Amino acid sequence: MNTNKILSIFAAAALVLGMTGCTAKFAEISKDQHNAHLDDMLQDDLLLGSMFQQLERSVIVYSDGKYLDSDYQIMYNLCAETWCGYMAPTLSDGKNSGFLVTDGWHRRMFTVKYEYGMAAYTQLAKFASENGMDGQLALGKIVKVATMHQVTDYYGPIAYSQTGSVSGNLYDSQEEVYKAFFTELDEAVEVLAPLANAGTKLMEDYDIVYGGDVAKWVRFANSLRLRLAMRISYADATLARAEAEKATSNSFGLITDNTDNAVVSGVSHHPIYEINVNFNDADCQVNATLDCYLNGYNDPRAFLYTKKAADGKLHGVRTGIAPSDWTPYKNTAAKVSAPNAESYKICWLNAAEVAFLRAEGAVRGWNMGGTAKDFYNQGITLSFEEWGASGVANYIANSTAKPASFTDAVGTNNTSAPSTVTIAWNDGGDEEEKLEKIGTQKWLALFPNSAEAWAEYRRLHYPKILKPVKNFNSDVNDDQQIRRVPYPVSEQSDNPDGYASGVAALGGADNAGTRLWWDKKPF
Amino acid sequence: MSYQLKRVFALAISAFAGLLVCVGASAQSKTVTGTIMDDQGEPLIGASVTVEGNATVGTITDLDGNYSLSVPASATSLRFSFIGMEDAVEEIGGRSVINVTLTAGSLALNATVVTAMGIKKEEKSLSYNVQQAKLDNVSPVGSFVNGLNGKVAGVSITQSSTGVGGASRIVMRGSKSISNNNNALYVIDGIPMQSQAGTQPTGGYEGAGQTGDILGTLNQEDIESISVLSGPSAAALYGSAAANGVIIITTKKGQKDTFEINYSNNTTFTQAYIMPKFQNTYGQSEEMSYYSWGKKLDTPSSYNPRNFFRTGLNEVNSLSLSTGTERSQTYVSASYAFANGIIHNNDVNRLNIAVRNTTDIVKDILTMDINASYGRVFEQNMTAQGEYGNPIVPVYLFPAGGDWEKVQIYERYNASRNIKTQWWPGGWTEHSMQNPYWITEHQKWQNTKNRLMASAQLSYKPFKWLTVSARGKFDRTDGVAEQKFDAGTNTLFTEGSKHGKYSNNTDYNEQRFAEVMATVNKYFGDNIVSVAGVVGANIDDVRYHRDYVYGGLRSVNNLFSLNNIDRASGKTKLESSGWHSQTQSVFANAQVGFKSMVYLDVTGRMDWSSTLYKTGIFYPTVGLSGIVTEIIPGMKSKIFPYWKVRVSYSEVGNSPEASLFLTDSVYDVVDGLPGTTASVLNQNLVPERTKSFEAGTNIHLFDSKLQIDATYYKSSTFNQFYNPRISSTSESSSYWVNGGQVDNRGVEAAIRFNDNIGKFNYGIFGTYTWNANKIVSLEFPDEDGNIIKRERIPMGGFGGLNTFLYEGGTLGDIYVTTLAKDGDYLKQDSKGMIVADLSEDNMIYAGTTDATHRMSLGGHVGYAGLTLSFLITARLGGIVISKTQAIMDYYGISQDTADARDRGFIEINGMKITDIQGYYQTITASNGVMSQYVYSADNVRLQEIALGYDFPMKQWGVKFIKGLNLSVVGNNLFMIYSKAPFDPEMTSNIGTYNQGVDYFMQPSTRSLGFSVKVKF
Repeated sequence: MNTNKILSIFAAAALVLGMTGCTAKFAEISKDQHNAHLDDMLQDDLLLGSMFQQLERSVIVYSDGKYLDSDYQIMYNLCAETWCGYMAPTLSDGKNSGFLVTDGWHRRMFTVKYEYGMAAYTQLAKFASENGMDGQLALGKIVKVATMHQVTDYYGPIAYSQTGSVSGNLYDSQEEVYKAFFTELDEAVEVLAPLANAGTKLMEDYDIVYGGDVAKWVRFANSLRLRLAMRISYADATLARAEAEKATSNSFGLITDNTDNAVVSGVSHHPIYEINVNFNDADCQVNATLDCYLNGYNDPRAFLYTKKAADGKLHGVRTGIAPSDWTPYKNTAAKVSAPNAESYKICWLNAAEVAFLRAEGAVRGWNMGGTAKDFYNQGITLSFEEWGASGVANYIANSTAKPASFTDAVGTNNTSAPSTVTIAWNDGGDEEEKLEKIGTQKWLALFPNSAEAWAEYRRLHYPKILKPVKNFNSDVNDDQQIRRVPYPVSEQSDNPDGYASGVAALGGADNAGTRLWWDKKPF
Repeated sequence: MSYQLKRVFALAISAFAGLLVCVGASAQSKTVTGTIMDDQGEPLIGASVTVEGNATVGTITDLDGNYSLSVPASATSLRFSFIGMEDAVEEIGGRSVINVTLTAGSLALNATVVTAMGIKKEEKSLSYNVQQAKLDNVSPVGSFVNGLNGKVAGVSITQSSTGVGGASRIVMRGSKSISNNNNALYVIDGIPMQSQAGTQPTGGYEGAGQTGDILGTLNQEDIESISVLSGPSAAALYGSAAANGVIIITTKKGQKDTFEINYSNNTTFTQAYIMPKFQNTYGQSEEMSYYSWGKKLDTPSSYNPRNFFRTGLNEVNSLSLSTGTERSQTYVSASYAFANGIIHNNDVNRLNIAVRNTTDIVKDILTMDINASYGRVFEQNMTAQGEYGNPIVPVYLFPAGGDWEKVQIYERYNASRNIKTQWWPGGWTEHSMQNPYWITEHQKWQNTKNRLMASAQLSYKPFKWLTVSARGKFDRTDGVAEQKFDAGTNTLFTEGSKHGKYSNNTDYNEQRFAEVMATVNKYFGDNIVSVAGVVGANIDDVRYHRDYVYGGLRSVNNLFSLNNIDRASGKTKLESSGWHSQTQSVFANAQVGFKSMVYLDVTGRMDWSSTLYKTGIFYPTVGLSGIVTEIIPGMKSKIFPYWKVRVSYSEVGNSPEASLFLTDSVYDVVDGLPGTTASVLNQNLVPERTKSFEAGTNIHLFDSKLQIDATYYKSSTFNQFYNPRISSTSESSSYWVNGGQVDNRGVEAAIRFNDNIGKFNYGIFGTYTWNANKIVSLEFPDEDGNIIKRERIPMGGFGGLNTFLYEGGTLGDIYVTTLAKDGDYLKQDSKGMIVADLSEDNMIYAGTTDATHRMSLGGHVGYAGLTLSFLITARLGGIVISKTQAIMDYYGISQDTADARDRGFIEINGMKITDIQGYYQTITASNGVMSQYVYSADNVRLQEIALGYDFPMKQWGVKFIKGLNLSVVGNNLFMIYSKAPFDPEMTSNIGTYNQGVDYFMQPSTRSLGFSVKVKF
C-alpha cells in the first residue's frame, strides 16, 4: 500500500465527516426571504401600523390583495345585502335570496373576521400592551368593535372574551358581547381623549380611514357607541339610553359632518362593481325593494345608486326567484337596473346615520341634543349632500309620495308596494309611524352599507321589505323573514364546546329563523 | 454497467461463492490455473471450480476471474459453475491451464438490478422487492412512466387529464401521508430529482395552463433502464423522501469498442375516446337559451361534441451516437419531439441534447464519468379540468338544436373598436362559459422551460476491495409561464380589461448535489462470509425562486408586455416567492452474505434537513434473505431451481416541503404590506416516520420458465405531519401538527412464463397489486400538549363532495351531498318534488377513490424477429364521481335526461317523478346532490397491442445498417368494462385528494403509433 493511496483514503474520510458538521446555516437557509420577520416589523411602527390596517380592512372586506371581491360577495352581497333589500343576486346557483343559507357562503363572515380582523387585533394589542402604546391599543379596540359587531349581528353569541386557542374557544352571549363592546369603547375613549385634545396623530402612515387623526377616531367611537346603543333598545332599554346619552354628551361629539364619515381610502372600486360588471355578466342587480322606494319617492338619489335600464327607467329584481334561468336579468340584456357601483365608497358609518340614530333616540325620549324632526331632516340632507343629490328641500317636504308597487321588467313577479310610508316628518304621527320614517330614510341613507341596514331592519322591522318570491327555507317565517345566519358547520367539529356554548346562549335552534338577543321588538 | 460497479458487486458475489465448494486440500496433486469469463468477456468473480465427481475439492475465482486449484491425480474433469450460468465440464487431460467461458443459462438468476444510490446488486441478494422495467414503447412527450402501467406491481399510475405533456400520479404501496406528497421520488443516475410539478388544480375553476413534471424534460431514448423500488426498505438509503418509493432512472453511456448510430422515429396519432353520453333529440328551452329542456326536435340535432376534437399527433425523432475505445466511451444524443393534443392549440414540443463521456484516467484505478444535458420544453394550453379557460365546458353543454355554425364564427368584426371580438351571447356565460373556439384561439397559456443538467463522477479504486467515488450534479430549470388573453375575452378573466390580460410567472429551480461514497467488499473465512458495504455522505441543496406579475392590459390590445399592464386598476399582482433547502446526510449499508445462501442487509442513514433543522433524524433498515433451494440440500432441481424468501424492516421519514417555512415565523407581505399568516406556527415538528415491514418470495419453476415474485407489506406512518382546519375563533384557519397514524398493507405479485420452441417464442405475464389503506389515528396535540381528537378532519372539497378523514377510514374517502330524508323516506316538497340536502354536515359516504386491486395480463408471441404483444389492465374497487355529468343533467344535455323524458318518469326509491326537468335541476343546482353521480371505478381495458419486427439485416447481407426495427403500437385501444361516464384512470391532479373527480377533464385518448429504429 503506497502512501498516496493511504492519504487519499483519509482525505475521503475527512470529507465524509466534514460534511456532517455544517448545519449551523440551516436557520438562515430555511428563512423566508419574501416575507417580513419580527425584526423588520419593529421598524417604522410597521407591526402596529400594518396590523391596524389589516384590522381596518376587515371591517368591510374588499379586494385588497389578501381578500377578493368574491369574499365580499359571500360575506355581504349574498347575505345582508340581499336580505336588506339593496341587491338581488342573479347568479345561477343561488337560492340564498330565498333564505336558503349555504354553509360555504354563510361561514365567511365568521372565518374572515376572526382570521383577518381578530388575528390582527391580537398582534396589535400584544405589542402595544408590552410597549405601553396605549393610544394605538385604543384605536385597535375601536376598530375591533366596528368589525366584530357585524359578526354578532349575523350569528348572535360569538367567541369574544376568549379567542386564540387552537383547540377551541367558548362563546359569549350576545348581551355579554355588547357589554364588552361598550366597555372597550369606554377604555378607548378615556385613553384617546387627552391625545385628541393635544391634536395627536397616531399611525398616520397606515390608517386608511382617518389618517391617524385621533379626534376623528373619538367621534367615530362615540357614533359607533350610539349605533350599538340603539341596537339594544328593545333588549335593554335602560342600558341603551345610558350608552346613547353617553355617546351624545362626549365632549368630542358625534359625526355630524360628511367630512368625518368613516370612509376607507385607497379602494379602487367597490366590490359591488366587480360583482355586477365582471362576475358572469352580473351576479347581482338592484333589488326590487330599492326599486319600490326610489321610484315611489321619485328619489333624486335613484340614478346615483342605480343605472338606468335600457328603457331609461329603474327596474329592480325580486329575490327568491327560482334561479333556473337568470339570463334575461344579466347586464347585456339591460332589462333591469345595474347598481351604479363605480361611485360607491366603502363607508362604515356616515353622518346621516348618526342623525337618524339621534332622531330615533329623540322619539324614544332620550336626550339627543335636539328634536327628532330636526335630526330626521338633517339625516336626509346629509345623505343628499354625501351623494351630491339636489332637490333635498322638496324631498323633505313631500308628504304624498309613497313607495311604488313593483313591476317585473323581465318576468311576472309583480307585487304591491311594501309600504305606504311617506317622506315628510309628521310630528303628530304615532311612534311607529315616526320609527318607520326614520327606519326607511336611514336605510336609504346607509346604502350600500348592508350589514348595518340588515341588522337595523331586523331590530326595527323598517323599512318594510318585499318578501322573496319563494322562501326556500322552512326554518324561516315568511313574514318575519330571515333573522340570523347559522354558525359555520365546521364549528361543530372544530370547536364543539364553543359551538355548544353558543347554541345554549342563543336560546333557540341554530338556524336562520331564531331571533337574536337584541331582536326583541314584537311582531 | 460501469467497470468499477461491476467490480464492486462481483467482489460481493465472490465472497459467497465459497459455499459451493468445500475447501479441502489434497496432498498429491497438480495445480490447474485459468480464468473464467462470461460470454461478454467479463471475468466471473466467485465462480466455482470443483473436481467432477468429488465436490469436496474446489475453489472459487478471484477478482479477475482467475483460479488456481490443486487437483488430485485421480481427477479427470473439472466442473465450472456460477449461479445463473450453465455449468461447464472440461476434461483435464494434460492441461495445467484451463480457461472457460460460461454462458448465461435460462435460469437468469444472476440478473442484476439497480438499487438505491445507483448501486447494482444481484437480485438474489436482495431482501426487498426491486422491479426492473423496460420502456419498450416510446411515449412521445410528458411523463413516460405511464408506459410502466400494468408492467410493475405495487404501483398505481394515474394519467393526467391535461392533454399532451402532463405529469402522472405515481403512488406506490398506498398513500402514506395525510398532507405531504405521496408521489414516488425520481432518481436519475443515483441522484434524487426535484419533481417540479406545478400547482395542482382541485377546485371548480382552476385547471387551465398546467405544466408537466421533470420527466417531461427528459429524452426517453437516453434511458438505459428503470428500476422501481416500491417499498421503503429498498429506498431507505435515500432517507427522507424514500417513504413513497423510488423510480430509478439509469441513462445510457457509450459502449466500448463500438461505433454506433441510432436513429428512431415515433409517430403517434391520438383520438378522444371515453366521453360522456349526450342527447340530441330535445331542443333548447327557448331560442338562444343554453338549456336543452325544450321540445322534442323533429329531426335530431347533428351537433356532435366529439367533432370538436381533432386527431392528435405526436412525433419524436431521436439520434444518438455511441462510440468508445477500451479506455474512453462517449454517448451523444439529440432529440426533437412535438405533440399536438386533441384540442386545437394544445401543443408541446421538446428539444434534448445530451453528451456523456466515461474515461479510465488510470486504467482500472481512476474513472471519470461526465455528463451534460440540455432540455427545452414548450407547453401550450394544457387544461386539466375546471371552468376557467376550458373549451370543453361549452362544447359539452351546447344545446341540442342550437346553431353550432354560428358558434364557429367565434370572432366578429367590432366596428367601433376596429378589431374582431368574441361572439358569445350574454346569457351563455354561466359556468364561466365562453366561445370554445375563442378560448382555443385567443387564450393562451404558454410555458417554456430550459433545463441544464451537468454531473461528474470520479471513482478511485486504490485496492481491489475498495472504491471511493465522488460525484456532483448541477441541475437548473428556468421556466416562464405566461397567460395571454386577447381583447374580446370575457372581462371576468381579464381583470376587467377589454384590452386583454397578461401574466408572467418566471421561476427557476436549482439543485446542487454532492456525494462521496466508499464501497467496500471483503470476504473472510475462506470466502464463507462476505461483507459488501457502502459508506457515504451527501449534501443536497435546492433553491427555488419565482416572480409573478399579472394584470389586465391598459390600452394597447393584445400587447402582452409588462409595459402595458393596467396598474391603476388595483388588480395588478406583483408577487415573489422562493425557498432554499438543504439536506445533509451520512449513510451506510452493509450486506453480509453467508455461503451465497443467506444475506443480511443493514442500512442506516442520518439526515439533517434545513426544513426541520432542530435535530438530525436516523433511519434504520434491516433485511434478511435466504435462498431455500440452496439451503436445503438436494432441493434444487430442474423443475424447482430457485426459491428465495426475504424479510425486511425499515424506518424512513418524510420531511415537509421547504416552501412551507415551518420553522420561520413571518408576516405575509402582500402588495407591500405585512399581514398575519393563516396557519399557526408549531416549533415542535419532526418528520413523518414510516415503519415498514415486508416479506416476499421469488420462485422459479420448470427450468425457470415460470417465475413468481410475491411480496406482502405492511407500513405504518406515524407523526403524520398535517394541517387540520381549526376553529376560526383561534384566529387562524389551520395548525401544523405531528400526530395520527396511517397504515397500508398489501400484496404485490408478478408471474411470468417464457418459453421458446426453436425460433418461436412466447410468454405471458401477470401482475397483481392489492393495497388497503387505513387511518388508524387522527389525534394530535394542541399548543399545550393536550391531545385533540377530531371525529373527522376535512381535507377540502369540490362543490358537493368533500374528503373527510375518519379514524378507520382511508385517505381516499369521499363524502357527498345527498337527498333530504324524512325518516326512512325521501323528503318531498309541497309539489311532491324531492328535496336536496346540500349541507356539508349531512354528507354521506360515497366510497374511496383508491383501487383495491390492480391487475394486468400481458403476453407476447414471437417468431424470427416478429413479435406481437398485448397488455390488458384491470382495476377493481373504488369509486369515481362525475360532476360533469351533473352539470350536463342540469342543462338537459345528457343522454340520461333524454331517456328519462322519453320514458316519462324517473324512478327513485320506488317513487315515480314525472317532472323530469324539476328532478334534474333539484339534484344538480348549487353544486348538486353528488350522491347521484357516484360510479364504480372498476374497469378493464385493452391497454396495449404492439407488433414489432426486427429486420434480419445480417441475414440479408446489409452491412451499413446493423439493425432495423419497425413497430406499431396501439394504446388504450378498447375499454372492455367500465360504468363511469369518463375514464376512471384519469386525474386532474397528482395530489392525494380529489382523485377520481371529473369536472370537465379532457376525455382520455386512444392512440396508434408507428416507430422506426435504425442502427448504423
